[in-house]
Amino acid sequence: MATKLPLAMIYLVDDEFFIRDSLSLLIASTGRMVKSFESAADFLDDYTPELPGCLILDVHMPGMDGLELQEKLNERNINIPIIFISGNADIPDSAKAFRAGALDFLEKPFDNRILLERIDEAIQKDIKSRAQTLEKQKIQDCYKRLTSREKEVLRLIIQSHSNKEAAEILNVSHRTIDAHRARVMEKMQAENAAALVTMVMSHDLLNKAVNA
Amino acid sequence: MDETKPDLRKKAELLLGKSSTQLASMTHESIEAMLYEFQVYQIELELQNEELKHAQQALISERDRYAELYNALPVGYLKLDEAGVIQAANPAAARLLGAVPATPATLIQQKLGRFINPLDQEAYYLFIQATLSQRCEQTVILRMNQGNKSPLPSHCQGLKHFDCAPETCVDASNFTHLECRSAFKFNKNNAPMLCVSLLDVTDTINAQETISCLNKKLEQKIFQQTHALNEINQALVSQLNQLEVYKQHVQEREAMLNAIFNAAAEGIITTYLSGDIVYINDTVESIFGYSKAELAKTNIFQLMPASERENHARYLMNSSDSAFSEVISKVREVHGIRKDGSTVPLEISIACFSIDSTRYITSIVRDITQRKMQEQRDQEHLDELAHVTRLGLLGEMASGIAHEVNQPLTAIANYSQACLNLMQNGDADPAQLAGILQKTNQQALKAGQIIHRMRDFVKSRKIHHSTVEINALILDAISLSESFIKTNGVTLQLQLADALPTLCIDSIQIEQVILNLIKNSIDALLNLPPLTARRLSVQTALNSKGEIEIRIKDNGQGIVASEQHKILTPFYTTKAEGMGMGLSICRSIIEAHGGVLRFNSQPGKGSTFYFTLAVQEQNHGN
Repeated sequence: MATKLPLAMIYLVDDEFFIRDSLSLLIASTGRMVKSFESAADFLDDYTPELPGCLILDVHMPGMDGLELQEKLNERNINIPIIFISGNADIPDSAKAFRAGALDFLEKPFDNRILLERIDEAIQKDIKSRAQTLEKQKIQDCYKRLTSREKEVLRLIIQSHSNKEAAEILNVSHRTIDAHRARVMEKMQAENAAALVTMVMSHDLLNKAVNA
Repeated sequence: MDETKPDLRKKAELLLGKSSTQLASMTHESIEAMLYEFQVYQIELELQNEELKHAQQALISERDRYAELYNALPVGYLKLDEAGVIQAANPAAARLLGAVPATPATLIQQKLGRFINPLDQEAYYLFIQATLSQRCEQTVILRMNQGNKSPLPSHCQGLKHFDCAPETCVDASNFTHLECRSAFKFNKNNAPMLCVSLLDVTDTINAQETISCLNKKLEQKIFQQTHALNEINQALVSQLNQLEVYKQHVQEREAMLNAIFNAAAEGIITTYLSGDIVYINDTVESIFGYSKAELAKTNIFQLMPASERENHARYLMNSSDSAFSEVISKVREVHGIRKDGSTVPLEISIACFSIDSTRYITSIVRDITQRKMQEQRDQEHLDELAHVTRLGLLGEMASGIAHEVNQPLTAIANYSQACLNLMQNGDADPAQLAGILQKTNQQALKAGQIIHRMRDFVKSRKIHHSTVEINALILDAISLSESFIKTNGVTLQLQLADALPTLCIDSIQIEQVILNLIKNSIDALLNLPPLTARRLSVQTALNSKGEIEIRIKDNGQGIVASEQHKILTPFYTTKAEGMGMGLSICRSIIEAHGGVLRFNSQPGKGSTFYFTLAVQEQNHGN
């Protein structure tokens, strides 16, 4: 079982010693890596995004509480999945947490299996989101290499215009469009037109391009 | 007499020569007859002469006797001519008039007036004139000129006894008083003359004067004494009137006091120091169930339970010292024993007084059964209300308390699962497992304690005073509200004084007050804008009156001045879900414990609620 686990770090922030102690012990006993912090500030000081992982976060803490830490992480674009734990899960708190992208909100005492499931889920999500981020970064980098004429041609392709129609819209020759199209496909590293459309649509490049 | 003889012869011859009868012309017979006649005459004359001689002899002896008497007489005797010049005097007169030398001869041809005191000259003159003109006996008492007498003759000694001042006494002593009695006569020359007898009446006069003086003094004395007696009498009369008025007042007062005495709702028992009953009013009968007659024979100790007899006896023993005056000034609560043996709660105050050095003690007792019952009902009512509000308070804090229990439960679940995992993995180190199980155990106990405390807190029960340390009670209250404090981001500061005396209080109710005040403070802090520091402090201290003071202070919004007077009253609340009973119950609980609950609040700066609890003096407690 342990061998199947991905390399990931589980962060735990709770001001209560026995919660930290018991939960660290539990997580460690399943062969996962865990690092615990007494306060949100300690966590922020220590956190490095090298490994995928997740954050188990107590809602109510003296000083910076869980929800404030979540806000701060969002501000800093740290997208680590967060599982909130709370002694008294009230609805406004949990709603706020979910709106801000929490993965789950568990009320103490919680079923360990559920927590472990959520942890694994979170790690998988993080791994996936890290991969997506990487992919997105790559496509964006490619997109940045397009000239403005090429971006225009790309937009027309996405809007399902034929080469002929595009040539008419841009008031250039059919062959010019062909050449642009080939360069777009090459720069975007797309194998075919369908892949290109998927790539552009999934990362919403056109809107960004329009906005940019 | 013999000397007068030749004279008589000459006169007789002369007479014969003048007679007309001539011897020569007379006849012989006639001569013879005449001779015979003469011879007879001669014999007759000789006989007569003889008789005269005898008479003269008798006269002389009479005269001598008279002179002897005259000279030896104590009464002075004077003869005066019309001009008052002394013609004759006897030795007594010379002595009485003070002639020097004291012989009658000194007085002769002296004016009697010379010897009269100028004060009495006029009386003397009138006396002489009256005698001469009326030619009858006159009597007068005159003072003589006699300055050489001793100033205080023996007769004045009587005055001395009366201690009169010399000037108030008529000074008669320097004069000789003579009673002069006069008779009018003609002397042999047929000139009018006065015979004056002088009788020394000085002693009589002095005696009279002394008597009159004494009389006067006596009168004066009597007058003074009468006056004094009158005054005393008057004073007595006015005092009598005053007494009459007093008596009336006293009677009125007595009547009034009697009416009050018997109509009083309090029983009034007057006893000797021994406790024997002297007097009681009607109310005592109804309080204790004895008749007046039965009570009159009893001792006040019979009306007290054995436990209080000793106390009372001690107070009576110490009646002179301060312990007693302490009892006298105080109203105490004691128990009495009725005739049927049942006890009756009483309020007693004692007064002590003395009449004719006998000390009496009056005990004024009031039956407070009704009040006690009412107090008990009030207390029960308060207990019930306190319980209800306690439940409400706990309900409001339930989520916090649940959290408080959930923490250890979570830890237990985690620890046990960790153990299971370690065992399943097969790499379980028994020492590690033991350590984990130890912590699991601790957490289970912690959860149990919180639940126990919560159960205690809501358990319905009668008020139960126990000896409590206030700081421990505060920590208990905080343990129930810890998560409430934490989840709301409140920083708690504790300033608990060391070595505070213990309190005898109902710990649950006081904990309720503390918890309620903490919760109110937190509620106030929740209204602060986000990111504002929320501070709560709980302090204990011994104040200057020797009471323990508990302060719960927050830096919340404070209470608006116009609301401040309302917040301790029932059903006043600023909270949407509140009943408005919390603070009002808190105040009732604190007052039932003999303390006060107050607050200071400054809008915008925060509020401090504080209450006091009296420290039970150990030696007064049971």
